[in-house]
Amino acid sequence: MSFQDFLIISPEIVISFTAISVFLLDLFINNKKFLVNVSIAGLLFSFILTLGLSNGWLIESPGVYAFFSSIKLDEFSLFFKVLIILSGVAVIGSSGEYISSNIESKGEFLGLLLLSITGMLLLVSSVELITVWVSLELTAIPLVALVALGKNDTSLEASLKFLILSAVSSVVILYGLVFLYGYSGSTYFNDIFSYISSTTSSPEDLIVLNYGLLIGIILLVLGISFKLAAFPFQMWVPDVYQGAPTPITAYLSVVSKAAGFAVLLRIIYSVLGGNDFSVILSNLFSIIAVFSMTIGNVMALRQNDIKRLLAYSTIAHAGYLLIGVASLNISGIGENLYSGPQGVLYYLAGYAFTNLTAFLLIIGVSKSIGTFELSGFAGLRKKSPLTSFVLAVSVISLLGIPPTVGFMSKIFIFSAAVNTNLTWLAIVGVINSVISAYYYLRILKIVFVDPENNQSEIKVSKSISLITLIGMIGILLLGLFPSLILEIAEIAVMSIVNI
Amino acid sequence: MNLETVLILSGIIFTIGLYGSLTKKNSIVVVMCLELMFNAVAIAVIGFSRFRPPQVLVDSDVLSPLNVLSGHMMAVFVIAIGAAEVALALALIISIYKIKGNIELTGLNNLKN
Repeated sequence: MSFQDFLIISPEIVISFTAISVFLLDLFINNKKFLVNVSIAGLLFSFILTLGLSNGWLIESPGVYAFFSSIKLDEFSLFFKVLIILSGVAVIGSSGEYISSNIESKGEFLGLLLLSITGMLLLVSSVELITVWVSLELTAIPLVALVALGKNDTSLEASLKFLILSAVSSVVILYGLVFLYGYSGSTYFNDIFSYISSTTSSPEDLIVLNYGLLIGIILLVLGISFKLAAFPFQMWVPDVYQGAPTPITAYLSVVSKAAGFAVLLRIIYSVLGGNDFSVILSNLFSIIAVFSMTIGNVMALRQNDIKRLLAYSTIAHAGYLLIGVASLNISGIGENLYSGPQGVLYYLAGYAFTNLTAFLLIIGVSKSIGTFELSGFAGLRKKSPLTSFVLAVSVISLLGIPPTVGFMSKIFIFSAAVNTNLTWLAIVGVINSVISAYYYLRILKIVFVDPENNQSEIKVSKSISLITLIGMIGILLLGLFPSLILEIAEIAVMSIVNI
Repeated sequence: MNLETVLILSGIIFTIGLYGSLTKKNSIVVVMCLELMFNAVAIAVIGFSRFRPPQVLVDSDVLSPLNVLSGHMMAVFVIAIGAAEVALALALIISIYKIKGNIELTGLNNLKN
């Protein structure tokens, strides 16, 4: 272990120290607003460190290993670190008012959120099975406690459901990792890759090996679908999203999903590379994608609670994202070899802007109207034109209408599917987008057309207004100039591919 | 005793745990089933580490103590983190018991579905 190792994980170190100091300061300080500021300062400092790592101020260049090669700092992990830290800043920055009125243990809320962010940052950069699993648990365990922190007893109920399914899914992931380890003999991604691609055993041995590894991969994918909020493990999503404190819902829907996709992409491209598993994996992801999209969109049609509606919508979006994951270029020939994962990264960045804007606005508005029922949003246009405009932009982006980022990301994902001979999957995706128009446009109808049914005044706090405005600008900017992210995404994907 | 027996044992325990954790009504029993699953995985990883040591698999030049012992290390991590998860579950169950007076999972239906 050299000093450089510690420099490489300096963003994580800073955030975990911030978490510990928030826990401690909570005991002495009565002004809880200060704790929010400390958390944001820690996150911004680690953001600067991340920028420093990517620009070569702290280390020579990305692509270096640390801590016995268990952590790798490359463009891919830097992309996700920036995404996760900025989403964390948005969530914590806009939840100051929510925390002071709705959460009793304020210091624990912030500290646990920061610890979970630390876990995500480690997760996206780990290239070793034990590190992957320990960081997965570091993200999951604080989240369970965070879901339980709401004042009402529905959040306890949501938390217990979340805990059981989260534990089941992480054991399933672990069983998958153990099979990967057992049949390849190493816990390092690079060693597993070189073992798989250069195996010289007899044919009978090879069959056993392949079945062992295949079981491992299937278990891994099924378990990770919990993190992605995708098909086999999707049933926790609506309950937990509804019962959890709304900032945590926003965090779960964006950051948890992004970290899940990061580890999935890294395992596909760094461990498995382009070999015989690709066909099976592509089919597996296609099936999961179709089920997630259809379940999400169909169930969302008859929801009246906006948090539940957006919960089903995130299941559907996990399905769209999995189309990009399924677009593995099996033959390995042709242009745009990695357009699938590139589209996934672009989609995730756009989705972070879109969904955070939607959820944070809902935090602000629902505080004034006192309900999460859709009918409570009626006549929002008259009460607060700017709020309803921003909400409209984010809903349009979720639906995928130009000139928003949601439209461009769907274009990239679907064209990646067509490029890799998965045209049927792209068609299913388009049909699902049409279904989703019903409930997204229903939100817009309620906000813009329906007469108002209560006289409550809409007062959105300054921090939420600022962050959602930035989010709206991001939605439009990324939609009009997709190359801003696409070029970075291409470099990021190239940095994890093992050939 | 060979790798197959260990894996079959681990598979049986894992399946019992999975079935129990998804069907049982009492939350303490569910937590016990979760613990069964963790232990099944620990058995599997120890079995792999014992019967498929990396020496036969990986070229000798990448062999290091870290590689040889990684299965055992993984088992230690599994036990430790499994305990952390169960501790959190018990804390939640206690606070639910304080509010509701029982720990049946069937009583948890306040969230509409």
